[in-house]
Amino acid sequence: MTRWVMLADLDRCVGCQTCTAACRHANATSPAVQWRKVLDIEAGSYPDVSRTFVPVGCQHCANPPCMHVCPSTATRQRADGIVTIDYDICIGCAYCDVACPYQARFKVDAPRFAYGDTALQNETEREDPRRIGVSQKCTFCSDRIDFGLANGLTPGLDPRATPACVNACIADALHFGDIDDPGSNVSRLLREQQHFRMHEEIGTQPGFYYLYGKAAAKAPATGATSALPKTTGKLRATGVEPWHQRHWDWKAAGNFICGGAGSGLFVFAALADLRLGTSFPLGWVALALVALGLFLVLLKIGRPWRFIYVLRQPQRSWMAREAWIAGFLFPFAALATWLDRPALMIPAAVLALGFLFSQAMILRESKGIPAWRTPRIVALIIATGLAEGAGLFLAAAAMLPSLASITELAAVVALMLAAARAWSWRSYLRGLRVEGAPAHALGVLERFAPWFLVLGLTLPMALIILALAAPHAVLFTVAGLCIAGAGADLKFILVTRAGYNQGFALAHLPERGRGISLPGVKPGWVAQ
Amino acid sequence: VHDVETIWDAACRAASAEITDGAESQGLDWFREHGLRVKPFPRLQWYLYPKLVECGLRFEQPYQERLFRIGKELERRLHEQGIAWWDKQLEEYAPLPHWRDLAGLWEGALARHFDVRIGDYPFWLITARSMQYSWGANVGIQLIKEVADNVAGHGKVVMNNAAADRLGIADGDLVEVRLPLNRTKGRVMLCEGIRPDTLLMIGQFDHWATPFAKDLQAPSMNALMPMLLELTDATGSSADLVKVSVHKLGSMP
Repeated sequence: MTRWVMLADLDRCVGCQTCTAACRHANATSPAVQWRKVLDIEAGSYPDVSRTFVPVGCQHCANPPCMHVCPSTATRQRADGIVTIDYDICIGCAYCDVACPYQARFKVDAPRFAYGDTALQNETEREDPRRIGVSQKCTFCSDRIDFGLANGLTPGLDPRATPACVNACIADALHFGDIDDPGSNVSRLLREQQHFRMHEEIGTQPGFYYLYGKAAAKAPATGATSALPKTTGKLRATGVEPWHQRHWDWKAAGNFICGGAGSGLFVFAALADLRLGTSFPLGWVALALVALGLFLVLLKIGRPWRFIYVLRQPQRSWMAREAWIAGFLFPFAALATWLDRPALMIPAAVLALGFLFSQAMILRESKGIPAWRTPRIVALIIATGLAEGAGLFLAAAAMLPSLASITELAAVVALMLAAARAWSWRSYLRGLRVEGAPAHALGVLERFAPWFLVLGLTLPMALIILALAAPHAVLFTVAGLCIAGAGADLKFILVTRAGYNQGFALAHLPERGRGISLPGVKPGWVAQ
Repeated sequence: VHDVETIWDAACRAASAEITDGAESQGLDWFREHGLRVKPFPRLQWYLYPKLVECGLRFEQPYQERLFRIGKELERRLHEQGIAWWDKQLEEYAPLPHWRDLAGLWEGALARHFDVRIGDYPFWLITARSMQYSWGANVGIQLIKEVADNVAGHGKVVMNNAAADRLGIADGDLVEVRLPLNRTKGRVMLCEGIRPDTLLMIGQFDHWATPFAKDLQAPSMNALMPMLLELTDATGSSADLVKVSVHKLGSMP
């Protein structure tokens, strides 16, 4: 077998960005779309300071999260390990963008040119309209590799068969080759030098290795002590710390808000239907909410006319599963509501729960966003969806005379679910602090926490107690809306404010040229 | 960390021990008194000089001697024309230049010409070329700016963390860098790898009038460089060096 990998020697990289320029030029990417780039990290305190340059880009993981989440099968993995994108299939949902822990995905929604609105001749000739509105990333210059192999050349050794960034490297810091061949250049370098891979703890098994000194020099030689302290001291890492994901905006949040509340509401409409033996318009309202959420997603994706491709990969992608479940939920639930058959409402409610679970798993599988990928997000999203549904049901029950008999019960259930959601939220936040998270994400969530508890639990609890003591429909309605509103607010904050990506981290911070390294760094993170 | 005196003392002892094969070892005080120490060097080991002399060949003198001769020739030509205002620069045509207080030269010139207390201008402002802008014309290429922005410091006023702390300046703050002659603005990038008394502005782009380059808005020390004869060296040029003050204009947006 063949497994192509890239190596970056941190002892040699001088941060010239020639690889970045070569990649931009070879692949004709738009301005600011850098499939390959070099980070600039400064560590230490004056006058003992080191500076490290770190090439980054797609790591062509053996276990690529971007491929697993892709609903359309646009992202695939070749037998030689290269992760590819089919621009003709990609729907531009940017799920891969939030799933990638290496910030290696790019999506350009409109043509961009180097000098304003007018394309230069080379930009006109090299523009690829297929890339607009879809995901794009480093291909390891697979066209060059394939050309080389077809002509008997060795990738990594012959420039015509080697990625442009490696060819361009002025410091001989980038290397490319077959790690499955023990005699290859990369296998030899990995034997001779110490190395690590980025974010290995996520389980992606990257195909990109960082070299940081001779293997024999694991301990500093006598007399060769580092001039640097044994801690990294201060760290300047602009562009290295996590930044907020750029593609899932309020429309994506709208899908989680409407989809969660809608599916939760449908569950309670079905339960009420079962108890009272008759159907209510709430089922239609619930379905309308779910539909609105999906419509918002349609507005968000880069290639809306390809939306049907979302169904292509239910084997792996929770987004595809969500779409499939929605495909069953709408006709089945509509039929049940229309026929007024309580017995049909329950299976439809199970589908609604499946839809809600899918939404939770969509966030859970977003491996590039630490505040989303934590296992506790699943319980939180489900509890929130059910609490939102119960809140909306309570608000409606207080207003509809036909549901008056179960209003108090609905209030108690809504309150219990709001309490369960608050407990789940507390557990989620505590888990994030223990697991570690981007400082900004944690800051956003911790600032939001008191408001969420007041609006989502304390205030509705007070209103419901008041309403139970002195029944008043408006109090129940306001309490229900508070519970639902807090849930919506939580998801909005989670998606559009706390969606900080993984950022970059180094397991070792080498002191260039000395064969000595400082402890690893993870800029912009709290704990772990 | 050793002080400067200790380091020089050790260097003097090591050097004198080396040229006497360990027989003697003189410290900094000895060198302060005597200036230099030499050891015999057989004429036979002088590269090609003995052979060239023996063959009666014409050849160029060593660089230092040529420099001295050229300086003398230039001095005579200038004086023949009654030009004396270049005499200071002519002193640089010396085979072995003496140490000069360059910092004092700059500080004194600025204080005299702008009638300022030099202590009010506590920072040395310097510039540097970067790999990305190795060729001046690169400044008009969008791709070069894009990749240069990946390297810390481009388009910013690079400043030491501790020095900025003392002035209440944070990373990203807008500052004005002043000399009585002029002023320039830029956003601060804090850095540990720069001396606390020094500011750095990479590149000098404010003179460009061509598209793209004219809109870079990068801080530049061009505008702050005084053209003073006493700061002009024998090549007709001057070091990109000036003393300035820094003032915070606004916080990071």
